[in-house]
Amino acid sequence: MNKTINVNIGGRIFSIEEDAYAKLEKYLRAIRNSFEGHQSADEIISDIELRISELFAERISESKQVIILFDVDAVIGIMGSPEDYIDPEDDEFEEEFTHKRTGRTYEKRVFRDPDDKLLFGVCSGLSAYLGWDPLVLRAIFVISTLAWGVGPIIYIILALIIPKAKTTAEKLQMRGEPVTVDNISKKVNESFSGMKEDIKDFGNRNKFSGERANSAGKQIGDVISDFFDALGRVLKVLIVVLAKIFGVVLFMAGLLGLVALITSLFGMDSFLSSTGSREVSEFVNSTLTDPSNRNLFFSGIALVLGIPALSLLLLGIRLLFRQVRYTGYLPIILLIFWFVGIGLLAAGGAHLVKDRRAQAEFTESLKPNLAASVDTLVLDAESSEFSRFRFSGDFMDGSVFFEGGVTIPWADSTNVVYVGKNRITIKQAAGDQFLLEVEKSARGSSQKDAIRNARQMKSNWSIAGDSLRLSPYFVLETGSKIRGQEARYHLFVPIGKAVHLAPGSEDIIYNIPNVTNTYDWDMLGKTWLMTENGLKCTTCQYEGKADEEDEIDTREEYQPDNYPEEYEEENEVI
Amino acid sequence: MRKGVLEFVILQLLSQKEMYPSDIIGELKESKLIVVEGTLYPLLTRLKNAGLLHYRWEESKSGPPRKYYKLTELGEQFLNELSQTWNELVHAVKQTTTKD
Repeated sequence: MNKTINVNIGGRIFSIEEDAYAKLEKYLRAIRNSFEGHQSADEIISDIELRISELFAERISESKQVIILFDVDAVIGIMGSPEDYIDPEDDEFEEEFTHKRTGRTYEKRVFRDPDDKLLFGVCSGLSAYLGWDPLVLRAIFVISTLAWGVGPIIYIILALIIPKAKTTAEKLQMRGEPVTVDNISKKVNESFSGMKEDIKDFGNRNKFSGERANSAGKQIGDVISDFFDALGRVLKVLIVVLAKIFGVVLFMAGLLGLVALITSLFGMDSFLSSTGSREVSEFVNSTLTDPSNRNLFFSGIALVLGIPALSLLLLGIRLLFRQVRYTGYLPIILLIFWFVGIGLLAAGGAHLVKDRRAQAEFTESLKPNLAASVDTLVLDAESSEFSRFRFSGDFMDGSVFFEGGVTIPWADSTNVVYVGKNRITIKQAAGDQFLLEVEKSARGSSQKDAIRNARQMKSNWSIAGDSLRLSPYFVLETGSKIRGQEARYHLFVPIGKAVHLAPGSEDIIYNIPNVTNTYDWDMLGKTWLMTENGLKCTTCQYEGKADEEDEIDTREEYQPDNYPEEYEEENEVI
Repeated sequence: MRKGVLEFVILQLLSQKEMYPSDIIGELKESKLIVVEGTLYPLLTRLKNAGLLHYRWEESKSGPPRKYYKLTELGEQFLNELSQTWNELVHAVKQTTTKD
């Protein structure tokens, strides 16, 4: 069963099968194209159609009422190909076709190419004529625009002068290909949309055939009608270019994110590295509970940070390469993996929390071996050990992270994974002797574990003559867990004896109570006597009354800004 | 060499009687002067435009009206001139080819 179409050829109705119709239509179009511009074209074509209808009529009988492809082929065989229609004696044909028939080379003509155009198809048309890549000419035009500004003027002139290739025959001529049925059908099959356009052009051409002489006017109209087309196309190109730039940005961002993530997790100096700088991965090991917890944590981080980076990368690729298509499930899959990552992080975090739920502390009594004759103890930090460290800010709650390559005399420096800050404060002693105590605290999965973790802290202090030197830091060595360890030293000073705070002690003193409420940093370089009420400065210039006046001043300063001025004055008077 | 011959034959045929294209094609095909029919239509149109031929429409029993072509007076004159040239040509060719 085949679909048929009714056609009127030369005043007769024929039922013709679809494929046969397509072939016949193409054939007649090719013939029309070969008579393009001939003054008697319409007459000749109607004669030809008459003859074709006669030939069809001969092929139809009571038993065979439909024209099939075979009939069309046979009729075309009788009538001949479009080249056969060319009358060599006819002057009108002379110009265009004689050398086409006699010579092997076919004349090329310059047309604007409507199929491959950015603006008006001038560049692609010229390129087809010259046999170049259109990109070259376009580049030349753009460069000449940027360099001398003449590009657009030349372009507009060319767009007005050069006609647009409307028919398939003209498009073939533009490329210098012979106008034969084979070539035309090849060209037509190349793009179906092109064919539709041609058919449209066709109707227009017949309608306005009388006006064709006025080609210059038509040319301008053509160009103007193309203008809005071109504007739309330029906008489209701009949008595409922007999309591409955006795609590149997304692609780079995604790629950098992934690379950064991968190198920080698996690279030489990474958290998971076993070959790179040891301190980082050991710090991580000491922070986390065990390898399984570590794997949990890092898979979580990899997913939670990696999925957005991967999404950016994929989006960038999609924008850059239009042919790339992803499955519609991709966002859902990515989202699921991201949530899995969140889940892993939560599980790892829960594990960590569990390992830190208990807190414990214990106090160690240290016995400073001081001569009884010492009345003023000098407190100083053993700063020489860590002279290389001058930490500007604290890392993780008053602790600092240890940098490799430093020798610490009282610890195995190569195995240090963590450095925490020591703090010392001064209290009143019950007896008449200087005493030193340290209170160590840490967290752990149980009280016992917490105490064990607290015991991992290592530090040092020493007595030399009348001075107590305390290391500003405590360390944790490989194998110990980092569990919020803290060390608080207490120096007990008997009443009547004094402490001199050497400037170097700045790193260790913390919240030392005194009778004048002086801040720690103001206490440095001064000697403080332990009285019944607490520490009292003995080497300070301001005392007693001066301090009280200061306090009054401070109070006045704290009055609210919107306090009425008169009232303020009154207040002062009172 | 074909140039002009086809026109000469067509004019010759039409000088004897009115014909419509299909008749002419039949005759020409018999004498193997044309292979495909398409060639004929532009030729007839050109001769008509040159004033050598004119045609009239005639109703057909089996289909649409047909164009019947006939020589004009100018056509007759032109045919006479052509015949003369043709005869001279044939004579010349005969002479040169039968000499030796």
